[in-house]
Amino acid sequence: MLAGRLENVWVDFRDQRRRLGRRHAWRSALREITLDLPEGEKLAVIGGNGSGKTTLLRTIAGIYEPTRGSAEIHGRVVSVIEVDSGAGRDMTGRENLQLLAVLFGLSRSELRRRYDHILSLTGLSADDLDQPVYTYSAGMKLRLHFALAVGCAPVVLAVDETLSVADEAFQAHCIESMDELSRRGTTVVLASHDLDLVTRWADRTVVLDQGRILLDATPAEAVAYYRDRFGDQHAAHRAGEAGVRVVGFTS
Amino acid sequence: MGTRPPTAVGAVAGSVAAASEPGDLGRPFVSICIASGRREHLLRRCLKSVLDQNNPPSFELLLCADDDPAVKSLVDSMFPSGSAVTLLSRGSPARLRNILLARARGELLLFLDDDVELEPHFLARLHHLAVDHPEAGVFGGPNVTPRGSSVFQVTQGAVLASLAATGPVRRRYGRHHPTLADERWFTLCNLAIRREVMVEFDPGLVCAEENAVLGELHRRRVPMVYDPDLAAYHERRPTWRSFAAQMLKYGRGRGQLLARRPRLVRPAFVVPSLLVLYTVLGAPLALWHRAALLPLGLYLLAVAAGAAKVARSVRRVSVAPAAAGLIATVHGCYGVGVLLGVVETAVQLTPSRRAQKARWFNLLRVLVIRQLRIRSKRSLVAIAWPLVGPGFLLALYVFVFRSVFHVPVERYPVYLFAGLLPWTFLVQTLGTAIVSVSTEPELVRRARFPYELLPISTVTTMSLYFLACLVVFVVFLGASGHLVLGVLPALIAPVVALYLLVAALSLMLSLIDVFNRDLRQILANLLTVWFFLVPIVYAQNMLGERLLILRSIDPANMIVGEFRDVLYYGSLSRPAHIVELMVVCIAVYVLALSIFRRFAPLLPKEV
Repeated sequence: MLAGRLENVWVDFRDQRRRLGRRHAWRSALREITLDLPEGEKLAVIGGNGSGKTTLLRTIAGIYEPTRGSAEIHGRVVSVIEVDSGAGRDMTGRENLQLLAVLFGLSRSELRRRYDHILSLTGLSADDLDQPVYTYSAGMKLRLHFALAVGCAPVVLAVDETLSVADEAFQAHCIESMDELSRRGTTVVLASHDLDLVTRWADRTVVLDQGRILLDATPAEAVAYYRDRFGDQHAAHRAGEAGVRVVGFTS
Repeated sequence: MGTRPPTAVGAVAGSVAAASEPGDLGRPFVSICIASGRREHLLRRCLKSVLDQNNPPSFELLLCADDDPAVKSLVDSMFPSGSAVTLLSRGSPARLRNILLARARGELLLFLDDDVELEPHFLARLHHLAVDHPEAGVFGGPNVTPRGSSVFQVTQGAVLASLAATGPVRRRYGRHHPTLADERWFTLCNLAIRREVMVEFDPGLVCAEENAVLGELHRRRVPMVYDPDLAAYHERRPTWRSFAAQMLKYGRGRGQLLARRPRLVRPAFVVPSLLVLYTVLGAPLALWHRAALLPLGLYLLAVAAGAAKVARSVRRVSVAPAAAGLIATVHGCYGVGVLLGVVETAVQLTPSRRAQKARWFNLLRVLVIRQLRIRSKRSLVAIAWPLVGPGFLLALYVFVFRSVFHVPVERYPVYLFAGLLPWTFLVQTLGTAIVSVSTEPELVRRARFPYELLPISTVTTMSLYFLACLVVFVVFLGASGHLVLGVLPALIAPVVALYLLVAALSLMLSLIDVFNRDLRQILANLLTVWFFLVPIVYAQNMLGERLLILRSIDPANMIVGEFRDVLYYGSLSRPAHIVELMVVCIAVYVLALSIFRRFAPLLPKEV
């Protein structure tokens, strides 16, 4: 069964350049995206910077409405896309969890039922949870958001490349949690630059470039295709992540 | 004792044959159908009362639990070796009961709630009645208060069984003589229906599904037998709040049913709603015509008489005030529920859409709490700051306009504050609300929700401060002897109008601010111009002839005038003026909301 489906989706953004006396132009961040999201599938999205991964995740999460086409998800979608202060930097971890849970559509009774479980998923101490979020590191914020996303028992979970800010143990825990969710029928969509992880973890992978799906295939095929076509950029990106300045490539 | 273990579902053919003369061999006589919520402790008592029946006919037990595995393990432990069937499914009670209906094989279908207890002879009595009245299709009795209930619960039961509270429906809650009955006598918590006359429950109805079935059977002239010995002990609500919620739910179900099948309307079902409508719309007319209070007086007398009778029936005089409150609660909540149910059905508000609305209302509540908390962080005066603003302005303007410009108005501070109070609410709120969307990208880009809740939560938060200021001001007026108490209810209309006007402006400003940040720079200047066009610091008659028209077209001008009429002059405006104000503010709000919603899909891309 399908948890959702995107059909011929286009997402346009207003061109922010000033054009006095003229109408704004539009730029397409996603073009002609058609994607089935079967229940329980682990779907990876790979592509260079600006290829449209985050826009795709936000469209799946219902945050962006397609300019053309249709995006239908049958149930609750939760996304972990940005690691930010959530409900407010002065609010404590607990207060953030409560507000964001309601934002994701949990009713009061559901929140009461799941609150302790969500708190335990964060792995943060009671002291930490009572501190304002501006005192949190990026990894701690991620723990908060990821625990909430998993604890909400979504039909679709969309995760961006935010996992890289977590320590190794929590990253492993996140992967484990996503596997567990998938076993229980949640569709997990992960955008990542970690091609080894994608090969190891995903059931299916799509390659995005300039807002279009270039390939929708098995992880091994998709990664091979991506390396073949965008190998140089990918190497540059990974080197950049490692703090290396790339001055050039030879074939 | 004569107690016999329950017959397995089609497993103990001998006992089935022995007990079910009217039925076929191998078929149980009664199918007990229970749709259970997540109330394991109550269900345990219910099942025990089924196990403890004296000389029961053969029966099968079918349970449909709301996807709760704990219920299944409970049933398995109480009815070992598969002698009961538990199905796990999700949906409305009506849907769960339809699932049971499809599985039931008995000649009689006995519907029980999971929070009832049966008397030990219940099933035997039901068997006798079914044999003695082969022409009847429906059998039932009252649901009564369980032994050992608290005084509040006993009073609640007595109130439900009283004529003053529930009218002809009271027979459902108290024992009456056995007789042929109609659909008003029964509830689904202990109701038996012959399989051959049974119709499916309407899954769209919540809490009135049996009324629909019984109404249909009544229309088909199926005889119904009421017997006081078919009583079930039905758990009463432990608190006033849960009792009110129960009445609201009953009313809502009835309202949905009446909107779908208007032919089932009976006067008793709509009287509470008429009472509510009178209280909201008719009673305020007493401000102009005292005679409008006459029905209210008669009603209060009836409630007092009903409460006295309830106190007599439970033999405790002390419960009379609580009984009066409970009777009024029944009428108010049931009446509101019926109106809600009718409106929901008319606008096709399905249960899932209603649940979503409840979630968004909860989000609004959480956003308001968040704003109050944020104000209290890193601040000594904390949430009291918005209260300081009007006080400071009052002192300043009193000095400038009375001492320097000598504005010729008596009791000038009161005159000024009556206008300044709504105005400062408007200004402070607009100043905060204009950035309420553009400063919240973390929320807007995290999930899809009605973004209009952001400016509206700001308005709601600020309105709490406004109401606090208003109360302080009214108390001050009362203490200084300048308050005309009788006209105070007339403040409700301008307060609501002010909220709507400020919400509408906040929606528009916050929307514009997302796309263009110029407006926030000049908002203060625009508001200053508006301030001097509204007669807040000066008297209305000081306004030039040409500007007098503002009193008729500027909603802020109208609102300030209304506040001043009540708080300063102690008089009432003409009703037509109030209606005009409300119409203008509602129209402005609806327009602003529709424009905001039209552009809402663009907000996550722009913040």
